[in-house]
Amino acid sequence: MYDAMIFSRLDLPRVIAAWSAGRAVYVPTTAGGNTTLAPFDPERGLSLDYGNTTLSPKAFLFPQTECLLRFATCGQDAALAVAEPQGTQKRLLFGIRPCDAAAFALLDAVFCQDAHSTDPSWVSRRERTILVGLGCNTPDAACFCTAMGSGPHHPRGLDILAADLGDEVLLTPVTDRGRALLAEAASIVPGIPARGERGGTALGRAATLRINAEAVMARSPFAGLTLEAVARRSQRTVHALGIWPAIAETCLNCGVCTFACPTCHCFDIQDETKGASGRRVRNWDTCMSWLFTAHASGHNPRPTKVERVRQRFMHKFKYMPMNLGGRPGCVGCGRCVRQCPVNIDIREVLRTLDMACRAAPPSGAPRAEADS
Amino acid sequence: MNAYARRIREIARRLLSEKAVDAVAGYRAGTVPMRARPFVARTPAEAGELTWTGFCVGNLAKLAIGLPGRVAVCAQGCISRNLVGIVRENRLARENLTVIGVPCLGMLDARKILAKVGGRMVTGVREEGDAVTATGADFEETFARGDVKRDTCLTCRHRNPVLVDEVVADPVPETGGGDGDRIIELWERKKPDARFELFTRTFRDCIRCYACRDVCPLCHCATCFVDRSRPQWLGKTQDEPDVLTYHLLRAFHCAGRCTDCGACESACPLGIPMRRLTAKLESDARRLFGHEASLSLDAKPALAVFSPDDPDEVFS
Repeated sequence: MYDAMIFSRLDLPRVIAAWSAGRAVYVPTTAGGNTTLAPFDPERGLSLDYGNTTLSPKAFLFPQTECLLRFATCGQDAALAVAEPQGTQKRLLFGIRPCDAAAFALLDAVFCQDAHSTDPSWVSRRERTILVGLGCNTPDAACFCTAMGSGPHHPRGLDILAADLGDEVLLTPVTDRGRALLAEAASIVPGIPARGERGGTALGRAATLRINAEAVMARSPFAGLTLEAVARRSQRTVHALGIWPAIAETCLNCGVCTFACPTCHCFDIQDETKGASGRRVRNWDTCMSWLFTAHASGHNPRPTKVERVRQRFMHKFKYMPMNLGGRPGCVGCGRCVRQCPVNIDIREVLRTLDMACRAAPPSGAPRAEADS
Repeated sequence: MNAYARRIREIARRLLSEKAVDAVAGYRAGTVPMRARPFVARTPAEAGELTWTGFCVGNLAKLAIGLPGRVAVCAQGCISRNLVGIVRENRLARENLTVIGVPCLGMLDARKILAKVGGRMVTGVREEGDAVTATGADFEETFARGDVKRDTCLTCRHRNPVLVDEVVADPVPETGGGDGDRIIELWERKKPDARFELFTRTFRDCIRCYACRDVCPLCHCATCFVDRSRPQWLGKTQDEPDVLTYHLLRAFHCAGRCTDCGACESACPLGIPMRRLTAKLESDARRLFGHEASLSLDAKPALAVFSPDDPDEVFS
């Protein structure tokens, strides 16, 4: 891309400092064994030596706890509700990985489906958050983004894609917003447009890094995962496969996988009242919890962990592809693989699912399939 | 394959082929480095998948509770004590339980290993005696086991199983050498304000995924207090009072029963040192009541007995 820019690696903190004017900038920071996106501190410097953040960055756009509105009764009158004001702080996330940006793009399709169901707080945060991603040169053993329609240097969802070339950093704008941001940096920090011979060299090095990273992933024992067979089978067939009890056997039904996941987005809305006033709060929820589907009647359509585990994988690999034109509801970031206390590996689950779908008898006449 | 793994396979194969048990709860190799995963073997062939490494950091007693029929469980000192507790609480019948006793030299902390290698990607870990060697694409580094063991294993007081039907190896030295009471000095030498500050800081990163609760074999309520909705006992938010109440109540529910297996800390995705609370409770149980949880099938839990001589200093 001819409008990409090359900066010295040593100048990168200055680029980020330039972007900090008028924005809160967050950069990867490792402390106590956890990597988070923390406010940029010029004193601390900037390390690009990290795998990925311990938790996904989804909380920047979809906080775990969020007040939606406040209400109060007025004497004998009904409650008066006032929407909690949206923030206005502009933000820039530097160093998020392509998988996580792809997850944001995927969640756009969930939170902004049409004019009637657009989530105002998601939109507000998304619009005031610029994403400068950093391509992965050394994918982790748990990563499988290439199997989920993304890649270690994939630009989807990002405003700028950065490639760490060692002594230099190549910044490639992906959106107009990214283009403006790059111009902003170049007006303060000397950068070189990635054109001509010099640009060709940098672009070539970035391409080599991408190809090498993809090659590492192609050598993974889990390479070659596919959703084709799952897509061919009906929802009912996949639901009724005999594989689920064995997959769920050691599951603790904790929420690590769903809370660490960049695409899991289920929530619970509660009214908390105290005296004559209260607030409506939205909190992350997890399909791993029995309470998630407990009905007021006492009935629970997912009474055991088998149904709950099945739901998690059906949602990622069947329901979301049905609703999103074939795209899986997973970006292959590998967090659930790394963090599941009992090492239930979503890649292995998908392989088992794929084989079971291939072996299953062909689905009958097409039937109207209900959404999840 | 190490001697422990070989012996566990032998025992499991025999128990399953003689139909002495219906299932063997153990571990098999993880799909990523520095992991082992709980596994239930039901056939002699499946017994061949069993393994044993320093990364067997879950709690198989918890897994055993849910298994039908007669079950054999691979158990280190702490897990064997959990099995004792579960039998005593009538959650598993002794006659349906076979304990495969694993004398334990301490389990490993993947976070400590990662910190030692400066966050570089570890592709494999070898354990040879007291040496733990981490390898990566361009490095190989060896550490003393004591430097990369889990905190809980450093202060372990019972490394040999207390209930054994099948023996995997000769007994090992009984303690990890460290002093478990050191953890609680953290609290005790602080003034209330500083203590509360430490308390809030300890649990600041919690995301309430409840892995610590769900991996713990002590939890036995049909409906956990955090899941009660009519009435709802605890808020669902990330606000400090909600998060801290969860951890405080969870710890108290373990009082006098915790074997310090450390599965809660190993399961935590954020590495929260939640044993800081349970260690205090267990230290109190030892000091005030001379009680250590689940050391034998005959001993009654501290909170299940009353004696007129019981100390009442906690009320003063």
